[in-house]
Parts: sequence; structure tokens; C-alpha cells
Amino acid sequence: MKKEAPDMLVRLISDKSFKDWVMFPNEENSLYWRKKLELQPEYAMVVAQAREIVLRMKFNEHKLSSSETDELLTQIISANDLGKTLPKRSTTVREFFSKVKPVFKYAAALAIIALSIYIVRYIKEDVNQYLKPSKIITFAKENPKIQKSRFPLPDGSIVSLNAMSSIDYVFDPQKGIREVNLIGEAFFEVKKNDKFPFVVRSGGISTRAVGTSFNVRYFPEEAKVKVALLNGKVALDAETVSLQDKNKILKPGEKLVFDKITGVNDKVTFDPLDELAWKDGVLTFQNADFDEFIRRLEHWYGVKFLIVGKPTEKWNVNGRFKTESLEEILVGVKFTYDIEYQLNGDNVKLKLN
Amino acid sequence: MKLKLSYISQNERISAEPQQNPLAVSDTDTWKSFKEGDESAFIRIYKDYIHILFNYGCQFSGDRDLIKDCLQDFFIELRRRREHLSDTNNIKFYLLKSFRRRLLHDQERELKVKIRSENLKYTQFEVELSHEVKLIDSQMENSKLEKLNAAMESLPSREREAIYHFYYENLSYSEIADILQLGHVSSARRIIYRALENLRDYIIASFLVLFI
Repeated sequence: MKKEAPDMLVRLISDKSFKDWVMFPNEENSLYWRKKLELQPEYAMVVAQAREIVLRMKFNEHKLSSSETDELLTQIISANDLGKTLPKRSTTVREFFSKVKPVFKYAAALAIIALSIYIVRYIKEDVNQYLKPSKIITFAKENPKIQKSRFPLPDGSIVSLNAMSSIDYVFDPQKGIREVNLIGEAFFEVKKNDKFPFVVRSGGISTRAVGTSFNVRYFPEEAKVKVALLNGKVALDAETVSLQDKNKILKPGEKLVFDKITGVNDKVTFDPLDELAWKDGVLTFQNADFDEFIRRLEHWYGVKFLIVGKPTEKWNVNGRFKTESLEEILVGVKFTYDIEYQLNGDNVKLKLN
Repeated sequence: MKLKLSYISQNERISAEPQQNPLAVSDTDTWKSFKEGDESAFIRIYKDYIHILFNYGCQFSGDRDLIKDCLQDFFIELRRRREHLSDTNNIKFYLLKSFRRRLLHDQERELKVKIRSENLKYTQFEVELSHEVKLIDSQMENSKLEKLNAAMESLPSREREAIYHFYYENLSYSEIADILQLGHVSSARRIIYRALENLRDYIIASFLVLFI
């Protein structure tokens, strides 16, 4: 491995399909490379390094300002207009002017400038009209366990995406909506746009907003879909059943809890400090029972629990944890509940006495 | 050990991959309209590629005004000869290739002295492994990056240009071979491999540290 690894690394970073996957991941190439790498887990470290080299590769960037861009275009167009109206031998502006009587010089120059500004303006509008309405914009992101992220969508909305969560964003002007499919949990700060509503679909619930911020949580292994509104207003809809009328609109501070299996839906109030704590890196528990407590820890720390025995009493865990390690939390729990635990890498053995 | 997949948004790059848009006019059609005298097609081409070409030109010479002049001449010439241009289904590649030819041609003619002297320094196609990219699962310390960057600096500018087309403009091996006037597609693959292979000594050193 030691000797092979550097060769493998060079092979990866000079491989176009590897580079494309790192730089422009999509469903197909992600699937391909994930499968490929699963077969060779011993290369995980090399792949991580190769990926890092590709992502860090940076060239100097030089930009033209928009006024420079327009100015240059004007010069190009006016030069060509001259080329057309004149005999072939006069090719430059200077030569042209030297042959024209002084009286006409300024008039000609002004006419050319006015004409080219007009052409540029006219064509610009034309192009914009032609291009904009048909442009479909897509964006996708996926977080592995433990990793959370915060990033803007192409429309300027900001998304905080929890660990083990993924979103797909599509803006199709023909359909007239900005559409997000979410698995997992995300907090959306939607950029206001009355023309194109922002719709989040997750676990059979669609949340429709114009400009507002709200949290959506749906992990397939949890039966419940939760939509919590921080400010503004959202309209809700369920795909398979119909929601109770009073639950179709959320006001700030309200949360919809939808049971995906039974279809039962309910509106409750929530405490933003708890509900949205995850995006600030705070793990909170509010009357969590044993199952919820374990599941949340698995998510948060990216570990797997092996449970031996059954809880003999009903658990009720409360608390806010920011910097604590998993072990510190378990030590804390040990005060109240009779447990023993063993930490072994990503695996936790928990024995209930 | 698990491989972490964290995606980094690339949308701020000048040459970010254009969004795939099934309704968009194809390069072939846009180019054809341009050749037939359609001015809105020209404006579209200009707007879509001016920044890519300017950025590319500046990799050869840091003299912004010089590159602007070259671009102006280049587009004027392109418009003047529009009816006689060959067809293409890849406008970006077509423009990069012909602009490069023009740039190097101009350089030979009048700017020989200027560019030559710049050539001696490490100024063309500067590339580095950036410290600024923040990766959650970073494997490399700054000292390691410094060493790799020193290796990058020692590459001939031609190899760095190949790396530029490969990583930055996302061109295919055959397009790179064409632009750099290499005989075979395999030569493009080789030049990139060879360039990156130069980094290997440094990589080996860093691996030994990792596996202790």
C-alpha cells in the first residue's frame, strides 16, 4: 500500500472522470465512484487526498468589469460597421477620418457611437428575453454523517443542511416555482420572490413559501415529518392525504407534525431555541424517550449503538449540549439511568441494567 | 475508514460548467446563426465567452490592456470573416483555440521581447493548491501544501497550461491535445500525468508521515 498509494494518487488526479466527479458531482458519477470505492476501501485515504488536491487547485483569475465588457463590445461593433461601409483599403478608424472632411468628423463619430449604443441596448434586451424564461437551474447537495453545512442556492436563498441530509433544487420558469426535494433536515431562509414561490417537498409534505424562514425535518427512519416556521407565512399540503384545514397554514412559532404512516397531523408551538439549535451546532433534548435519545445521538455523532437489554423505566431526557463529547453525555446520563457503555470507534455498546 | 463526500459549490468560478439546459439553443445552431449574420447570436457568444477568453489571455501575460486589445482585434476579425468560418459544435473550444493562435501569433510579431522576458519568470498559468479552500476532512497541513506548490512552480508553463485546460476549463483530452498542438490524444493524457507525476516525490514524503 505504501508504495502503491502515490501512484494511485497520480492516476486519480489525472483521470478526467475522477476530476469531474469531484468538481461536478451528479447522481450518476457519484453512484459510480461510490460503488468503485466501496470495492477498494483500502484506498479511502488516497482518494481523500486526491479529492483535496483537485478541490484546492487554483489559478489566478482576471476579470473584466461590466463597463469594460460593454465598452469593448461597442468598439468591436463600431469597427465592423466601418468595415462594411467603406472600401476595403480603409480599415482603421484613423485612416477613415483622415479621408473625411473635418466638418463631418464629429458628426460621423457621434452617429457611430449612438448607433452602436442603440444596437447593444436593443440586442441585450432581446437576448435577455430570449434566454431567461427557458433557463432551468439545478443544484444538489448531500452531507455525510456528522457534517453540517450552510450555503446559498442559485436564487440567493440560504440553506442550513443537517448531517446525513440531501437536497435537490430545481428552478424551472415554465413551471413557475422554485422546487426543493429534501431528505433529512434543513433550515431555509427563502429569498423573497412573489413571482416564483419556493416549495419544499419532503416525506409527502409540501411547504410553499414566498419569502420566509422555516425548518423542515424528515428522516426516512423517523415516521414523522416536521415543518417549523420561524417567520413569515407558509402554506402546507400533503401528497397522499389531505391535511386538516387549520393545519394548512402556519404562523410564526407554529410547527406541523405529520405522521407519514397514519396521516395524523397536528399543529404545535415550538421553542426556536430548541428546534433550530442543530444549525448552530447545539444538540438539544426535550422530553426525549429512550428511542429518540439513542437515534439522535447516532445521527449527531455518526455512531452506531448496540443495545443490550431493555429500558425498565420510561426515559425522559432534557438538555442542551454544545461542546460535549458523546462520552460526556453518556456519563451524564449514567447519573440518572442505570447503564453501562463501551465506546469502540464508531460503535457504542450500551447495556441497560 | 469512511470516505466523506462533501460537495463544494463551484458557481463562483468564471468557467463554472454551464447549467445543462435542454431548451437552450445548441452551440451548432448559435454558431450557424452568427455566421449567417444574426447579431443577437453574436452578442450571446460575446457575452458567454468574453470572460473566459480574457481570463485565459491573462494567463499568458498579466498586461490587461494588451489582452483587451488582442480580444478586440480577435472579435473584429471574427465578425469580418464570419461567413467563411468553419462550423463548430463547441464554441468555447473553438474560441479558445483560435484566440490562442492569435495571441501567440501577435506575440511573435511585435510583443516578442515583452513576453519572452516574462517567460523566464513564473508568470504564465500560475497554479497553486490554495490554502483558502476550507475542507472539513482536510488531510493536508499547510507545510505539505507549500511543498506541493513549490513542485507546481517548477513545472514548464506548457504543462501548467495543460493542467489549466484540464482542471479549470474542463476540456477533454482530445481538445487539450488539439489546442496545444499535440499529435495524439494520448499525448494530452501523458502531459497531464507527467505534470502531476512531478508532484509524486512530495506526495510520497507526505504519505510516510501519514502512515507512521
